[in-house]
Amino acid sequence: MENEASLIALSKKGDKTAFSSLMSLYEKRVYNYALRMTKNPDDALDISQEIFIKLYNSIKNFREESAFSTFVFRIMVNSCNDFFKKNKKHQTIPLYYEDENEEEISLSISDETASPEKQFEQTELKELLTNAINMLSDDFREVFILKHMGGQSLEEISDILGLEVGTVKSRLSRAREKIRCTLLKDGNFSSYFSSKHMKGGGQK
Amino acid sequence: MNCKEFKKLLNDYFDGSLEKSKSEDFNKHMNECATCKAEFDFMKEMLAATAELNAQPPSNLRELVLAQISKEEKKTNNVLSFKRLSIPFSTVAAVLVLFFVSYNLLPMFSSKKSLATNQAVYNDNADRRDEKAETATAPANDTTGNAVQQDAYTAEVAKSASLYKKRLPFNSDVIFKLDLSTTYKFEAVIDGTNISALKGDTNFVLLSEISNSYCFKTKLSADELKTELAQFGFKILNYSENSVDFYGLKNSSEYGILSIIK
Repeated sequence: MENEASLIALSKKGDKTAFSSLMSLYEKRVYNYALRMTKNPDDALDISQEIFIKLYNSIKNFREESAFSTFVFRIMVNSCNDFFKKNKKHQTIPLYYEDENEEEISLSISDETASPEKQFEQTELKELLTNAINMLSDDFREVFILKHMGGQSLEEISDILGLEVGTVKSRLSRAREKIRCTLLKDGNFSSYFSSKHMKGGGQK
Repeated sequence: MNCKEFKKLLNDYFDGSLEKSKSEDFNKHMNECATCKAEFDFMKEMLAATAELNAQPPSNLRELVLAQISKEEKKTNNVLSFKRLSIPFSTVAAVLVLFFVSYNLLPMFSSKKSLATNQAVYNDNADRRDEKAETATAPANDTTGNAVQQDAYTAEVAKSASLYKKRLPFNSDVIFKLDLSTTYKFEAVIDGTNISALKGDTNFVLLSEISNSYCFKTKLSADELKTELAQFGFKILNYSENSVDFYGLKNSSEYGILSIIK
């Protein structure tokens, strides 16, 4: 990406216009990652700002050894993790816990869907999907968002998170499966996808 | 290929790592097995919908970031310059304000109770103050004196501003909002009540407040200013368009500095 390379070079010299253009290339992915991780637009905006300020302050340290996107997303992932450490109340309480053998133990889901208002809201596909993603533990959610919202490759995710490709693959497939199961448990979901898709059911 | 093998390849497919050599078998199984096909279709739609969850970031995100960066850079610069000077910002600012206003205010502050805390600054000008103390008792009649003061003041401000501009890289409300090419109106004497009234008046924007010194900005003309300030109990001693205006407060129990920048 020639254009990106020149923007990086200018940003290293403190050119704010170039840095602004550079931000525009990444702001959507950064903001959406922060939004899905924190589940809160206000926090997402705060963290996104923090991420870009850190990026501006550390862009001089970027060596062309790895992709710039990896550099950006590492800052992004670390900033979100720092945020979780600082704000324990935001910590996700996963609805699935993993024991050491990665055996899945489902917790009973508190029935927030009971009220008619909630049910009405949840007939929206996006909301159903968002809820299903929110139910993932942070470890699963981060790989899922990077892959299926950010469009990162397995290798890049492995670089960003410092995980083996195998671990990324395994977390991804489990994340997808959990979301699929969550959606299938919700009867309303069937109305969004044509019935032929439902034949497979929620079972493995 | 059985369903278990298909399931493995299904994950490769959505990971983006399905080998080309296996895609034929993969597709073949899907055509033969409705259950696997349904799972594939479901997952595909689910992931397509996931990608659509991407929201537009707030339109002011970049603006906020750049503003924050500029702010931090300014802060860093100031810290550096003050480290060099080894003087706290508040002290420098206060001294500068007093320095600028002293030429005009000294005659009016001959009273012992005035500006006790700033005595040090005034000590430098002690001679001048004593000299002019008498004229300060009747400044309304002292238009010639004003003109002289104005010249001295203007020269002093210009000198000081250029001196301090060289040394201080920050942009201070106190100093650099004083545009030497336009008029500003310096003056004196306030008490708490009148200043709060002035603060609440939309015609006046408070630029800075340090100790007993207040600096306001106004768009009012000299005549409007005269009327307006009279309402607040400021006694107008003298004023003229495009020159320094003096206002004094009747029965003031506490002295301070009020400067009004037009």
